[in-house]
Amino acid sequence: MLKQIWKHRWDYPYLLPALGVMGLLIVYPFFYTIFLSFYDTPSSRPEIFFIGLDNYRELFNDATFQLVVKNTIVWSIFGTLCPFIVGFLAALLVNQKLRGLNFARGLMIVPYAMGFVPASHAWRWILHGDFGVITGTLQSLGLIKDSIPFLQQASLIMPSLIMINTWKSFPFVMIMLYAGLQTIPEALYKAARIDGASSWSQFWEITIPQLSNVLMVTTMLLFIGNMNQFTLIEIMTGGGPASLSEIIVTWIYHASFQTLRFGLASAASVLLFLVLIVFSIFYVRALTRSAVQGG
Amino acid sequence: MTRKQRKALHATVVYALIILLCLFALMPLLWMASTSFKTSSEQFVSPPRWIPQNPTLEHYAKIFFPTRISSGSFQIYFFNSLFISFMTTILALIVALPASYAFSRFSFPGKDAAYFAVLGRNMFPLIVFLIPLFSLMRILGWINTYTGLIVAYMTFTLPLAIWLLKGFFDGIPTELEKAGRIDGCTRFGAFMRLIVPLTASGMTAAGVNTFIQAWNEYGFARQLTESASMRTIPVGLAYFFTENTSDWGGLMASAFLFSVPVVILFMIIQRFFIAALTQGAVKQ
Repeated sequence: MLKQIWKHRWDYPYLLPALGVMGLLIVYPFFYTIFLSFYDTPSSRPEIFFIGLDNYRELFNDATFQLVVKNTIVWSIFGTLCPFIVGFLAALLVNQKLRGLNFARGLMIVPYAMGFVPASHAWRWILHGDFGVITGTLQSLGLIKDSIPFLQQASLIMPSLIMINTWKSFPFVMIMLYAGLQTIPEALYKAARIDGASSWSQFWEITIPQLSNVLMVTTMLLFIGNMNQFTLIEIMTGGGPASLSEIIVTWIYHASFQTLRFGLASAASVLLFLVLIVFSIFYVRALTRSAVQGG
Repeated sequence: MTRKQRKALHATVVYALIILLCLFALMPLLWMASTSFKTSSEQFVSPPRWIPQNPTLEHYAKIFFPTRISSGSFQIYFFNSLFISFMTTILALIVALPASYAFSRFSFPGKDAAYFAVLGRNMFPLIVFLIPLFSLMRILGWINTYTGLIVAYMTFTLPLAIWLLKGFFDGIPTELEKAGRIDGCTRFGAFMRLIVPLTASGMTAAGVNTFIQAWNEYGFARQLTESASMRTIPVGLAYFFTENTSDWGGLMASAFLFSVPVVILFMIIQRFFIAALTQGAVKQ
């Protein structure tokens, strides 16, 4: 081992700047977060006090945090499922042999290219309870009388946020699955048609199995991305009202920089790390499996 | 139904669905543009109008020629965003270039673990890194400075830049360096003189991507800056309403100006980026 390292000693200087930066900005924060999660960090004083697992205990007993965990689960699952369905449909559509579809694909990538910040502001205006274009249009058509408070009414907040996420993320699913569809040999479909298979059974027996790895990788990336989504929720609702749209990431931000409970927020970060590590393992498995198959 | 009719029906359904999806995709950008050209009173008209009746440039005029000189005008935010994104791109490329080359070419012990650690960063939310980074920046005295934000941006730009550039190096045949070595180049010399010039397109793609990421970033910029004169555009947009009550036209005009360059840049590099995004996940 040491011999190997010595033999390759001139390889490491190439990595030195990158490893230095990563060490300072990623490795150090990672361990500092774990360290801080065992401490009380009173905002009134500069000192910190070791309190063992008290932060974790507090999290498990906190009703708001339980709501936040529930919100995170709902957000991550439906925020993955909806863009997935729409994106899959879009990929199947642009994969047809018809004219002008490349152009349409270009247009559909726009939400993915737009930043979260301007996109969220645009949606805030579109969904505005009194003057939003959706409320206004429905009212002028006589379909509704009162305005729809998309971002204030408890039952509408999560669905609205998930709809926005569908808009933002479906192009990513489309890009990935379209690339996957392109690699399925046409001969498979030809053979199936000769055997008299319907389009429906061709879809389930050829398309889905052929895409299995891309489907897995895309779903995992989308799911992890949703769990980590901060900007969209922070700008749309700031987690409110009454924590109804707060997810773990925005909760961590508010706990640290609004209520200044850095220790408690670190404990939540550690829990989130653990969950994400599990998902990352699934993701890496899917990736390496596809690499092995792909050669 | 004849075969021809069925084909026509199929095409109609596909096009109808595609048009619906395109409208869904473009609607926010179009509504943003529409609002930005409306007078302040027309914004609130019911039923809403997609085409402004009396188009106006007043919101853009306010952005480019502010009447009152406040500490936080769009021009300052624009300069901050531009400068920080540009410097982030330069720094990320300088650091990522040799590292991605090493990941592509060499087989030193610890390589897989290091590469895994680099890419693993993307699995975790940036906000979680903000607490320790905030205290680190305070120790270094980098809160509310360009340096602080540019260095902090390495957290998420570096992994992607390394990943994209490694993909490009993987595509360059190793024979080139071998030939260079035979001609008497040192290994580093071969890298600098033979390989780096070939990666111009890779550098462009990785650079543009880094730039877009830094340009769009919100959480770090919000927390690591304090004074209005240090804000970037995304942070400035968030403060918009506290400074101008319910001026949706102004907000949409700023957001539109902010989005358009990024969308165009993305469209230019999308082919590179999509190739990198889908490689690995798609079996060839």
